[in-house]
Amino acid sequence: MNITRRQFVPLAAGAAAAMFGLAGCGSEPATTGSAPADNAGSAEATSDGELTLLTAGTLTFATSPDYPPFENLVDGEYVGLDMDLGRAIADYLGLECEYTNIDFDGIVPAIVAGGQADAGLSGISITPEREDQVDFSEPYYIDNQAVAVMSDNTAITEDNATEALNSENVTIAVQSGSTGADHAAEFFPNAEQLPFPNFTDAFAAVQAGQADAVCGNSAVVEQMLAGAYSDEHVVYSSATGEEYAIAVSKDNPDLLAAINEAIAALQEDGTIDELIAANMG
Amino acid sequence: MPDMENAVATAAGAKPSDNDPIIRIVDLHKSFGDVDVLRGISLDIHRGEVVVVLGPSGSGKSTMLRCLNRLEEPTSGQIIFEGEDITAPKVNVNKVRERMGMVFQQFNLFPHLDALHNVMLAQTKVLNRSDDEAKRIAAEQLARVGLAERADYYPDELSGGQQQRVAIARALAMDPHVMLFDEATSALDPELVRGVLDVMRELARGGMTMVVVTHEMGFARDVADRVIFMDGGVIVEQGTPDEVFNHPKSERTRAFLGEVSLK
Amino acid sequence: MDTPRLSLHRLMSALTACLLVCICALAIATPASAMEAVRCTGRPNSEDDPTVIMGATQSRITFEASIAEGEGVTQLTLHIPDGTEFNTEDLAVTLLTGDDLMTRNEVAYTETVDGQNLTLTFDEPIVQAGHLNVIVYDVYFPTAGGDMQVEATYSTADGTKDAAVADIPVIPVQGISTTEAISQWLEGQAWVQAWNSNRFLRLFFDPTLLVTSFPVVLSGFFMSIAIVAVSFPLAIPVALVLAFMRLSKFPVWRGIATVYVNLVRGTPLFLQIYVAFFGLPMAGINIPNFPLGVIVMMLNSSAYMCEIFRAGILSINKGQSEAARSLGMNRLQTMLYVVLPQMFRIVIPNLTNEFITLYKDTSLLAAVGIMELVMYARTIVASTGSITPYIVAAVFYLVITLPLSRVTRYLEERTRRGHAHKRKSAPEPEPTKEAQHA
Repeated sequence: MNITRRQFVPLAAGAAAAMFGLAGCGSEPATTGSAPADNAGSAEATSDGELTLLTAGTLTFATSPDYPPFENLVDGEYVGLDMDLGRAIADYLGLECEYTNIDFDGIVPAIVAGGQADAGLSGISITPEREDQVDFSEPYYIDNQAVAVMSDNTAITEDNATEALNSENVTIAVQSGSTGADHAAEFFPNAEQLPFPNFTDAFAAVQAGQADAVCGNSAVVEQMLAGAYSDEHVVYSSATGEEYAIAVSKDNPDLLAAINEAIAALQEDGTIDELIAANMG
Repeated sequence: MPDMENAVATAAGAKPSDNDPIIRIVDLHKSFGDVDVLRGISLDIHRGEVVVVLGPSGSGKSTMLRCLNRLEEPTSGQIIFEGEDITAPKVNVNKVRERMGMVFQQFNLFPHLDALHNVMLAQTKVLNRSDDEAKRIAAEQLARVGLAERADYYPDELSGGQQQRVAIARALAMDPHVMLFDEATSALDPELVRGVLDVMRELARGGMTMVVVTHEMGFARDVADRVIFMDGGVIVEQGTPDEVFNHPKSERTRAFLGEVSLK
Repeated sequence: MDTPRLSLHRLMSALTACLLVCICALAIATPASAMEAVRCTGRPNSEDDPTVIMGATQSRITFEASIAEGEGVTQLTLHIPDGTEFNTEDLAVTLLTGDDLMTRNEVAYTETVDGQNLTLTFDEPIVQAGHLNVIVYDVYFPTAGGDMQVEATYSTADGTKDAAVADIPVIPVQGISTTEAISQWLEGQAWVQAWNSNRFLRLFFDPTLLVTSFPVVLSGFFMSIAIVAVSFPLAIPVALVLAFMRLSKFPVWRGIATVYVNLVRGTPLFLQIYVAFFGLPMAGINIPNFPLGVIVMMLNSSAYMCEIFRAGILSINKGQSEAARSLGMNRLQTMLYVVLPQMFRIVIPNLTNEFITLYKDTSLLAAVGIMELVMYARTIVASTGSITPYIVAAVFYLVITLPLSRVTRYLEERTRRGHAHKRKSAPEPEPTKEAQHA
């Protein structure tokens, strides 16, 4: 997936050509990388000029790969819905796709500061607070909040979770900077919060007895529980209807427009539904 | 005195008497790896005797001295000190060392303690003397070596000669029965040597048993009861200063003395 | 107020339809219970405490009420507490339905605002059973704080007019903190706005954030200091024992200590922290967070200190212990009264450096949820997108490390001068002849 700068030059030329609608005329990418040729033609409509990118011709997403089924590292490969989506968007725009690993709570600051990534793609829910800092694309997924505890926890059960979780004796593990952290703070203000930069560590903390519960997005909680943490179960969920979207710097409206265009097209042709079906199975 | 060396009569282990040698060395060997540094030394040292050991570099004289208080472990042979075989396995070597003072070429004062506390430390820790008593004795010993005024000086504030005199006071404060001097003046500037030798001379006059490894021929002539000449890990020749210096029997002794006097 | 209702719903689904009908009938018969408050919360907005809601700072109100089946709610009016500002631009109105209330339904409505009254008129009467969830954004509670009571009334298709929704929980709002007040005052100043209009200055030195993050990061500072203040002194005896073991004549002791030191020094502290925090509990060893953090830091530091001590001991001239032994002192006495006092003098600069390293390394504990300096700064960075809190954190590190570095340099210089002094007053010609062992 990663390509070096030197390899990149001819590719960039190819990609640029593609954007100007010349790809169809047989411009041949000189590298063996996953050269974006197929959908390149459709990108013609969106961008009639160069996008401002960190590396010309490459769309660099910041992601925190601790969030299956959205982003996750398997054998060193970025997998999950977001990762497939990012590749599809880059493909559609005639760009190479690259991921850079940043802890979740650092992604929005990184997009604000610039220099590390073009966009944040990491199961980021749209919130008004984040909207103050970055622009969001059209949403591509809607999720809720869930709280899980150890299955053998008799103190916190499905029947009493709303009250039992809001207790001074309860420690709730969350991912630092996530909507799960906000949710726990708002609805379980009496509980102690234990924030982890890495969401998987929050589950491990429950396992390890350092926390009683873990609060976060439902899809991820369920995925974690289906995998490594099968001895935990969900005791609470709340239909917050959070919308996941791609975060883009406020200084880069062209990129936002291009990404929105891509999402709309991928929505239209059913790609996003396919990706959701493939990753949420 | 000079012919006392022939009076090797008492067997090791018998009741010690005043006539017995205070130290008896029997066939002492010491090797470092393949190198045999001592190759069979036998020697009796009597109470009150001042024995000066001479010899070229590498002759083994310092090693012999260090074997006496077991800073070096002898490879074989026996050392009988005040009737006790101190090379025996279960000997408490610390107890032996309490009765044997040693003065080093490099002084080895404790740099973190002032002169007074250098002299006090082992008194309080080893002899369990009270602080007051240790301090009184330390002051006495410092006065004895002419450094009463320097009690609160740290080693690095003292000259080499003064440091060596503090080191002597430190050893004397333990009331040793024997004093071992390992090239005590070799590291000193020439003008500082004298003060140290004066202290040693005074000590000898007071009847202290002393084993002195040195290059100071003058000191050997004036103070020694007996001079030992070592070379190649063996005693080549011994006798009164007059015998060794004026009528050396061995060629090697003659060569050594010739070399030294040329310097 | 929430749970009984929820469990009631679960019961309903589990029990007979007859019971369901009865309850519904009951609900219709007594209009007051037709719409019941489920929750009413404000979004915490304090950087000092993640659960505190402050006045005069952006927040939002989440109001949720249950609607019984067939009720036909046509209108809902929320009375936002007096003195509270709000904005209807991002208003979110959702009907949650289904047994688990996890199905979200868009509700078509028109809103009108009359003073503190926010009225939602629904295009279609709501007849489905469920929870009506209203989120009002851009809420600014009064500066002074207090218990905020949201009031609500509703009308139904069958003619009920302006019935009150009972038992709405109050939102506890705290007065604005001093630093928040200063920060907000700063925000209004022209020079601050000019300053912040520069992207770099805003990202790294936003004055309003400098003020607000200071007290927050300060609590992390105390945590970091507490960790080193306990772990560093504890590491010294452990390191001494390790150093003695490494210098021991017995191969077994030497081996154990060597393996330990190489293991600790050869792996990243980060890894050791992870193993301790997630590995030990899985092995059934449960130690609370803070002591565990202290223990890991202590064990790590002791390995490094062991090498400092070992080198220090080895650097003490052999003549020192020979002199002590020749005076009849045993090994222990020699170590305690002669070698160690000198060793400590020599290693103080190295120990100070080790202290600095350890202090900085406490930041790694952020990864396992210990609320130290970096973690506090991080939480604010995440919510503000400005790097400024990190700069504040950096200052808190420098406050300790800079003076200590100076002390180290001074001590090192003093040691050097001390040696020079010694050589000058006691010039030592080359030790004479008698090659020691040959």
